[in-house]
Amino acid sequence: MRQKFNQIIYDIRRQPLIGTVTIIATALSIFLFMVVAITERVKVVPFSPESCRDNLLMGKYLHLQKTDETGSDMSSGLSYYTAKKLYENLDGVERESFMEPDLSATLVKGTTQKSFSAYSRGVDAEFFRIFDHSLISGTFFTDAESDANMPVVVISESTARKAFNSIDCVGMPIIIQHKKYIVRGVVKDSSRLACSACGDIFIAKGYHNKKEDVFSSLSDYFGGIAVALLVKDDSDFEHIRQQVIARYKELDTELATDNWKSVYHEAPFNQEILASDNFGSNWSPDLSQQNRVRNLLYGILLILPAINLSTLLHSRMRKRMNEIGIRRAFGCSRPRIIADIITENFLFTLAGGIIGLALGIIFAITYSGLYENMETAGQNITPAIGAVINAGTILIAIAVCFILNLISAFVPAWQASRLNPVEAINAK
Amino acid sequence: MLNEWRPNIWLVLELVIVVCVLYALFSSLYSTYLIYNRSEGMELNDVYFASLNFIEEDNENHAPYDSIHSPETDYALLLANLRSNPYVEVVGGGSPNSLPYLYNYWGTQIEIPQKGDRTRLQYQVNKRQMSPDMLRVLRIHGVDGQSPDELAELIAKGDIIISDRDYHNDPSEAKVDDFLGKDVYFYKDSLQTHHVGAIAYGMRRSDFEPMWSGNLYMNINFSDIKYVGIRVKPGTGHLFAESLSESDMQVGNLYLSDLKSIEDMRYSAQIEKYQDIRNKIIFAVFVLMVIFLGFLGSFWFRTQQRASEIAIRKVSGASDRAIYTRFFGEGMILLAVSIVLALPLIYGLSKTEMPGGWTLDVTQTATAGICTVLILAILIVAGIYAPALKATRIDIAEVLKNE
Repeated sequence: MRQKFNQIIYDIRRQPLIGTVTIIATALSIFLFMVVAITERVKVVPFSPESCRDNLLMGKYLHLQKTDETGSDMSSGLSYYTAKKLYENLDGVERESFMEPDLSATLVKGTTQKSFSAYSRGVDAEFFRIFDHSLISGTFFTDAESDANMPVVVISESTARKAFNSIDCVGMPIIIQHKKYIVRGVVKDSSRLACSACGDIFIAKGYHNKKEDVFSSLSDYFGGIAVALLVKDDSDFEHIRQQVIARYKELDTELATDNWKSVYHEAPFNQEILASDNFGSNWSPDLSQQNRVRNLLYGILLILPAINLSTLLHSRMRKRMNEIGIRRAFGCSRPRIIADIITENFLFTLAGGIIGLALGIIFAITYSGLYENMETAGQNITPAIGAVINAGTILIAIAVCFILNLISAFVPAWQASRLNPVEAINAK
Repeated sequence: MLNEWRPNIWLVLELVIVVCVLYALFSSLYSTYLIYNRSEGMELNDVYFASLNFIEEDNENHAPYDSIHSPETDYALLLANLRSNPYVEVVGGGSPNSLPYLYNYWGTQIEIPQKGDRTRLQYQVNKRQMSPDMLRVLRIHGVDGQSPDELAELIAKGDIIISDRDYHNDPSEAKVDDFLGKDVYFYKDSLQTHHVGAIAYGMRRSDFEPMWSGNLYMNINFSDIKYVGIRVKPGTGHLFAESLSESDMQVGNLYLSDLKSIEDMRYSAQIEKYQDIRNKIIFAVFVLMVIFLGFLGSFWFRTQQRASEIAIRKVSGASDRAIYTRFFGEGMILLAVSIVLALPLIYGLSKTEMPGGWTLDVTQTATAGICTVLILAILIVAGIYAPALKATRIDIAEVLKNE
């Protein structure tokens, strides 16, 4: 291996421009590839408070359609009645939380002079058992408190500082949308990239005592809540989905009396679908188009630099025709020539890859614009370091280097191995 | 050049991919620009919006109403407070659908019943309910030159105002002018007719989205008002925001929250489109860098390989310019071959639907194509320049001493 390093250093010294261009081209392509890969992965890898992502399913919507010739339809979020009917006590589910899926902009006032805007969501006590928010002071609210819709909240560290100039605010009153609540606990700020679990304020909201609990008309099927399901480790998502499909059929029996039926849209959704934003209340998620575009992008990010590097390697090989000819004349086999060239080139690619990966990680951590969307514009969306730097990221980088090297080096290496030793030695 | 056929095949293959990728990126960006550049017919600078909230009766802070006070009087006082602010020009109220950049859509059809067997005229619109003053806040103009004040007077007296849409793909569809001055009714509501008082410019949901249907501006009932729009004097936005006290934001049980400038709303609403454009530009720069490095590396090597050929040319009287022309010519030939090979793919791409759901016409396709070729040509020349410069500076005696 040391010999290979020496060969590379000699190569760069002998042809500094081509060597430098090779490393820059590799670094550039690995950098872009890794930025794209990290941006995609941050949406699905587990990190606090969504460490449960691998075991998380969410039921969010209901879509109903008339069975008569008009075919008119209605779709929206779930009511507690529907949420319970479709998702309560499923086999293989460890915990279930009834929660508001979207954040609401709310007006907040503590003991400081000015009121300010913050993002809140109503959640039950089970929410904090599924999503691992880190408590700094106080406690989470209890099942009894959320079931009774007690005016208690858990707030984030930054909200506590804005409202009270301190995080020692447990037990203090806070005004949210002109209504008084008591602060039960303070949690660490969460990144807005944890889109199912993040928030500045978590308001205790159990739906058990709401009138939605009692079904009286079609509109009672719809509401503003979602269900987070924490699936047991040994259960598979398909098993859960099959049970939900059966529950939809039960719902259809109930709806048939009013000439309505439900339309099933692959619920509940896993993290990949939730992250894709490619789903809605009245259409099924379809990741095929998105995956096609992503694969095409990855393909271009690999193929273009690979062709480029291949051309450059071909040029480098032509400079080394004499050497290859001599090695062949002394009995070096063709596979050995190919293997040596590919290994040498892999070290080149790895050097560029390390630079590209380092730049990609720095960029992914410091430039939050990568993750902004309509809901998160201008807010704290710095990803957790663990979501960016992890074994998966490193493995992807190494795999990309390997593939890039293989695509770019194989043809020039094969051509070099086919050289006639006599012609190669005589070549200028 | 033929001596280098093997590396040239790689370069051509690379260029074919790059030509297609760049064409797809440029045509998409150009399509986006064409939509972005459409006339708005309204002025949205110096505008703020705040959501209007009500303290419900079950809230301990709810102030009970008596025979004099009502939510309507609270609202009137709230608006009067805002109007008395020295930086405010005009204040109005509207439904969520009255605001731009919220992506709401309240689709309905306006219809004119026709006599006999003639098919009734129908026109799809996005219903935007707002107070007359909101038309002044947004400074919506009529297509026939009506001012926002004139349009505001029209909806104040109960008329409705409609706008044209961006696409007229079906010639048999009703035109917006067919409804001007007519009494129309809304879809499945033939009990009440509405007089179309004017045609105004439409309000798009985003600067990057065409108007698929017309817009309908009509007066709003107090109970439907969810937002308050405030137009401040030019350039006084920050002063206005700082001057607001909590008493300005609340009267009785009504209060304003989430005050946002139109710039903030626009940014939030369009962030994903900005990202899309940014990503496409970065990707275009990436492929151009790849091409640049590819030509730089390849031609750098070629100058070394062809040193004796270049030296003989120079000895035979070739000028520096002739050497440059030879190298650049080789690059251009490679580009031309690549374009010819890429043409079938480009033809397929030109038939693809662009963002916004339309296809580019011949002129627009040609513009995107010319941009692709020009930029590639420039990058190829830039990539070849350094090797060509090196070629013109070779030491002829040194190179030819072994020949």
